[in-house]
Amino acid sequence: MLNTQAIANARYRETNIEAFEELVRTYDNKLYRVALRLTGNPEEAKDLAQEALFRAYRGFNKFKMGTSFERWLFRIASNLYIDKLRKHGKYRFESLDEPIPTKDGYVQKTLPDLTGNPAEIAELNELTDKIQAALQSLPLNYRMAVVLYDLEGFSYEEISGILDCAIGTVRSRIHRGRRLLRKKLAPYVYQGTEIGVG
Amino acid sequence: MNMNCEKVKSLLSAYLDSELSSHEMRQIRLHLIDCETCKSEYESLRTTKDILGMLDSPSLPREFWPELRDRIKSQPIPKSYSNLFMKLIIPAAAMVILAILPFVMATHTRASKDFISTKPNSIEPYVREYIISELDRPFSDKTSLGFVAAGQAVTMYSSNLFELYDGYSEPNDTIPASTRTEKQTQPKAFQPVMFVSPK
Repeated sequence: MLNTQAIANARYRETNIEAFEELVRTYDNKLYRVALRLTGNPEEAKDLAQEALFRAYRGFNKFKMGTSFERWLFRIASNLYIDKLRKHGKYRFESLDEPIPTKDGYVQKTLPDLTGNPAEIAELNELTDKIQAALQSLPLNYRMAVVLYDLEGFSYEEISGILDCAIGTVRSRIHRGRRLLRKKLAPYVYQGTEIGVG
Repeated sequence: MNMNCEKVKSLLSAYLDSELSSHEMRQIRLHLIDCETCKSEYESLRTTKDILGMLDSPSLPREFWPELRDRIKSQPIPKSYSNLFMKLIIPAAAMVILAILPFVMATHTRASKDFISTKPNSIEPYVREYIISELDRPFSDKTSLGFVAAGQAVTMYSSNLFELYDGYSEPNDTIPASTRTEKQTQPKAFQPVMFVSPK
C-alpha cells in the first residue's frame, strides 16, 4: 500500500510530473507486465500502460484518498483495454461453448488446440511464447482475472475491485480460465516433471 | 454435509488459492484424501498455475518514461476555473459574509430602534412596543418587523389623509377646494388594518 503522505504530497503538487512519477514508480513495471500479458504485444502493452498512467495523471483529482491507489490505477488500465477492444470489435463476453451465428446457420466454435500435435509444439521457440499464446486465446474476462491473480498476485478481493465484479465472479473466472489453460497447455501440465513443473 | 465431486471441482481453484472459508477448505481437504478423480483434477490445476509462474517478467522499455513525460508536458492539464471557484472564491465569500453579518444585524437593529423611537407618532403605541420588544430578541425576524412598522405607518398616514378629506371634517387649508375629489365626501369608514396582534 502506498504511503498516504506521498499521495497527499502528490495531490498537492498534482501538476508536478516528477511528484507523480515518484508516486507511480512502484507500479509502472507491474502495470506494463499486466498490459503485456493482456495484449501479448510489447508495443501495444507500452501504449496501454502509458495511456493508463497519462489518464491517472490527468484525473488524479478524482482519486479518493484512503482507497487503494494501485487498484484505482489498474482499474483505469483494464477499462482502457476493454474500451479499446470494444472499439475494434474484438471484445465479447462470450461463452466458449456457444455456437457462432453465421449466414449458413450456427457453427461450433473451435479454439486453438496445442494438444493436437506435440511435434508442432516442440517447434515453438520458447515456453513463454506458448503460455502467452494460451493466455491470448482466453476470453478477455478470464484472461484478466488469471493474469491479475496468477501472474501479479492480486487477491480475489482486489481483483473484484479492479474488474468491478463480485468475488464469486472472480473465483469463477479464475477457475474457468485455468481449466482452459490446462487444456491448451496439456502436454506440459500432464508431463510436468519433464519441464520441471509440478 | 459432505460436498460431492461436482461441487468440489468447482471450488478447486479457490481451494488452491486458499480463498475459501476455513470450513470449505477443510471439507475439500478431506474429500481430496478419498477421491482420486478430484485429487487428479486438483494436481493438474496446480501444475497449470505453476506453469504460468514460469513466464518471464519483462521490465519497462527504456523509452517508456521519456515518452510519457513528453506527452504529459505537451498536453498540460487544463485549468479548471470551476474548481478554482469552488475551492477558493466561494469559501472566501462565505467567510466575508459571516464576518460582517453580526455588524450588519447590530446596526440594522439599532437603526430600527432609533427609527421607532424618533418617530413615536407615526406608529400606534402598542405596535411600537411590540416591535421594540421583538428587536431585542436575537432570532426575531427583523424584515417582518420592518413590514409591520412600515404597514402601520402607512396605515396611519392613510388614515390621516382620509381624515383630511373626510366630508364631516373641516377642510384643510393646505388643500385647495378645487383639487378635492369624490372621495372627499365619503364617510369616515376607514379602519386601520392590524398586521400583528398587540403584545
